[in-house]
Amino acid sequence: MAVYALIRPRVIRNALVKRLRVFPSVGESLVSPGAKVDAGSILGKYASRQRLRFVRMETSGERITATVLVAEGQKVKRGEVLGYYSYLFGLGYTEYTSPCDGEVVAISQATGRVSIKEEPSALASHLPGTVEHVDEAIGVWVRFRGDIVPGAAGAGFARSGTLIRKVESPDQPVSPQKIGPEDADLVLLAGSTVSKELLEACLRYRVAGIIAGSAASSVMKWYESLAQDLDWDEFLARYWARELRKKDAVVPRPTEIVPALVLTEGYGNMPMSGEAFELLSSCEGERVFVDGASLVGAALGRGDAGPCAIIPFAGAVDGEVTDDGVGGGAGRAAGAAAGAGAARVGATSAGAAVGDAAVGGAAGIGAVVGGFGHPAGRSAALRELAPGVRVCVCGLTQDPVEGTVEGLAQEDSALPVGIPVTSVRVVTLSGEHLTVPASNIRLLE
Amino acid sequence: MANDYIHLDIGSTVTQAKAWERSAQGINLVGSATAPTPPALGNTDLTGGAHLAYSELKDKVERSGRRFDPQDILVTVSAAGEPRVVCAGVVKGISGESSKRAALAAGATVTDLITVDDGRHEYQRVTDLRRQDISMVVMAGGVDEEILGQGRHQLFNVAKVIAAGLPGRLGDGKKVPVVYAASLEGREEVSRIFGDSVEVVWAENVRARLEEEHLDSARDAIVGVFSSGIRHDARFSGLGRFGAATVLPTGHSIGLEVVNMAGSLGEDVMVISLDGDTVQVFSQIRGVFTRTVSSVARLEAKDAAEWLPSRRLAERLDDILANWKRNPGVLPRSWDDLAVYLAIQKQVVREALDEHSRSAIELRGIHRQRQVGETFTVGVKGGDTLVRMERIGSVFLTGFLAGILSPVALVSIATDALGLHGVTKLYADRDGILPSLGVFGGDLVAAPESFLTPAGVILSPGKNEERVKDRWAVMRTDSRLEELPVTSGEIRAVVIPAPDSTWLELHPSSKGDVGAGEGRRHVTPAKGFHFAYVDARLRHRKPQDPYRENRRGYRALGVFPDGVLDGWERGME
Repeated sequence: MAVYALIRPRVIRNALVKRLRVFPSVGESLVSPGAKVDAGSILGKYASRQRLRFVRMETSGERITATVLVAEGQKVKRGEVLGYYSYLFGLGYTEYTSPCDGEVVAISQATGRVSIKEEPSALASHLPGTVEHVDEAIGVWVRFRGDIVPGAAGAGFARSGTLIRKVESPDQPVSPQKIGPEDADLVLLAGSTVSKELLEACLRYRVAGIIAGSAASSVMKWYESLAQDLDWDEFLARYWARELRKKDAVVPRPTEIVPALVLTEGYGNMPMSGEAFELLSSCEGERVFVDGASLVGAALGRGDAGPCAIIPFAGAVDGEVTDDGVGGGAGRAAGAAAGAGAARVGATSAGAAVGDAAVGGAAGIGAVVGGFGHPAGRSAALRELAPGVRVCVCGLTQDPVEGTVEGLAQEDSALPVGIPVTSVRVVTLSGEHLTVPASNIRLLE
Repeated sequence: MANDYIHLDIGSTVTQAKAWERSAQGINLVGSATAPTPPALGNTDLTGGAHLAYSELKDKVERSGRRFDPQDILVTVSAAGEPRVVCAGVVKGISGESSKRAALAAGATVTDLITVDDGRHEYQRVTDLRRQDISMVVMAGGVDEEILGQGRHQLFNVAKVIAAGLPGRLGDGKKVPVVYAASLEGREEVSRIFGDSVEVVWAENVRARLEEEHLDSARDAIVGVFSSGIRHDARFSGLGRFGAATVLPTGHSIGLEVVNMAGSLGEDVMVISLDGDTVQVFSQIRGVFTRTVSSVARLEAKDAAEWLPSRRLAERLDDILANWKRNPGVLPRSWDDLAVYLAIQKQVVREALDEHSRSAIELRGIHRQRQVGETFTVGVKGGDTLVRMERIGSVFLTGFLAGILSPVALVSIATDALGLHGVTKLYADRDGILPSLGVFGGDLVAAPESFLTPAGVILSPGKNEERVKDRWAVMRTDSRLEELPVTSGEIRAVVIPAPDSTWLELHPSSKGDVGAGEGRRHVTPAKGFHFAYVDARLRHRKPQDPYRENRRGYRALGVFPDGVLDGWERGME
């Protein structure tokens, strides 16, 4: 009897991926299928769900008593003075400022309400590739080739930046004191577990993204809610930064206030896997795409936008020539011209490309393009648990452990808790022999 | 294996294949096989597990010396929450709820409910609808006659929202169909609003009159749209390998069987499907069928911790639960795991029952004639729940977990999470047969409960445990009468030595109701059951040490070995 398990690799090398870039609300696309985009390209614009923002001015009777400085149809900038009200012979003074960039669409004399239609925000690609498909209700799918580290969990929106390693090994945490202004707009490789203090330091110094092994569930809940709710005014109030308060300081897009956070292992206190750490370490200095997938909820549970870190191959923007895994290498080679990455080109075999790419969809990274040669009728997301296969054993109260399949357990009731399910014998890296339900096993290769 | 059938059930975590043999004596389960279902991400082929389970089943049948040549293949689907629908109505509490009940009865997952009083602006309803990944929209609203001139614009406003926001199906750009189960009089105008761009499936109005609700026509239309449309869904394109198999939503299939069972038993029944990542609750109470679906995603660790037997396990529950929600297929492999797993399941079932109680209600919106004297006493216009546990004669536990958890573990879940009251017979569907029985229809020779494992009879005074007097619970055989021990604050297991000739009786106080009416004795035969459980634990008071209370309950039921419970008691590993 053959037993099958889900494939969940820790890294996916040289995969051809179709990644969804989600509009936070219904948007307007600025690109068409087939268009070539780079990390800085604007894919489209979207309005916030609120769309209209209101400012209420002082009224008396049926008219506004404040002095109104704007008119209907006028464009305004965030912080621009819309009007002022002086009272008690000039001893009292109130100034009304615009809460956002936009256009004044209505001024009501009776209620004193000034309605401002928000300027749509831009959705940046953050990925170099080819636009595969556009759906203005959902987002834009970008096709590209790259190395992927699937995230077990995440928070925050998609960002990209240069990767910098902050620890020497995957089981080391990063101290908040190690974060400074020099880390602005960088993606940090942060080792094992991130704390609330570290995340606050990253927020304060405008880090672009953090890739770590794990975080406590309570910290992730706090960070997720922060990612959803924190606007620029509140950011300035909470994380006071002199240089950001200047009049000419650029106000970031709403999705770029909070750094993206990707956890490779999950919740709790777990070190990052060696494979993920090794791949990411080898990419230090390269541009990395990180997505905490806070918008997956907005995209209603779409699986092709899960948390992950991606190192796209510079130059390999055209998927058609890379389906066989060779073009990916060429793309990496193009990237390697800038320095790092040449070693990984050589290490990526065509066989690995087939296997890895076939499971990209299962890992929630994005739909993977290409028909790969798995047996007819057999899902690419499942593979047989044959002896010698490298696996990760998941548990409820135990942290995941890596091991190798020895074979099927003899009886269905081989588990100590007497649950009658198909079980598998696994020997762990530390030499411990375990009997575990087949459903607890994830194939690593 | 001529004259035999294969049933493939594609669930969200596992896919099961079952071979059934049909003969003049009834149907007989020949064999079954299970395979994991690939996770529903993007356009992943979700039928991969079905092919593996089918192949394994074929091997098993052929190894047993039979020929594998099924006459028919029946498929039920709940993977990816399919069919996913958006419901729409005019008033949330009236037609909105009716359209939602129709969709749920058809086995669907309701992803949104659009009504004029849902608190959103019209553009927000449109944008929310456009972003949905759904199979269809179910629309209700208005009575059949005399709506023109009195609020008709509300129904048409809802139609305009649907017409503007109907999402295109990914890839082929086709619009999703709309099942119209709203006012007969409004059809013409709604047709005009929808134009040619919307495929409308007409069904009878679910609330043709305000006082009545008829879900059958809408339910059948939803099932029909799902069955014909699923073959065009890229995620289920692998179903083509099974030929022209009939495809139904799993929830619908179980629902058909729930109605059958209530009819054959002649009592109100409840079925709880423990599917791992979701819990479905079905009930047929006073002739009203209701189905609800609850997800583990909303579960909070602090609530689940209430059911743990050790403080040590509660310390990391937040992280454990968060990790498990990502991989709900992970099963317990140690006693600590099992304790956590049962705590999670108990809390999910409790929340699922609460949600079911809110959904299984008397109709809202009914005009009631009131007497002058009732002016200050009657404040409810429908909406009272139908779920009163003393009315439920039998509870059936089905789903993947009912097949792998021990019968006493299932009794523990039922007694803790369901708040049982009176006499309740508990059955476990160990082989996952209920979805198959629903598919096979009502042409069985044997009674449905004969396929199930009797887990125990639960006798409970509910929240009246302190009013229980001597001789409250009695076990009567032909020759003798035995009073059952009812100790306040405890649950006890009682062996039934001769189930076929034993009756269990409850004798409530004059104001007490144990299911037969106020002050009336309740008698039930114990046929098939080897254990009764007298549960007089205090439900309305929070225990000082919940961990100790949980250990006592587990010890009485025998869910964990004594050594494990002693270890938790000492705070040891």
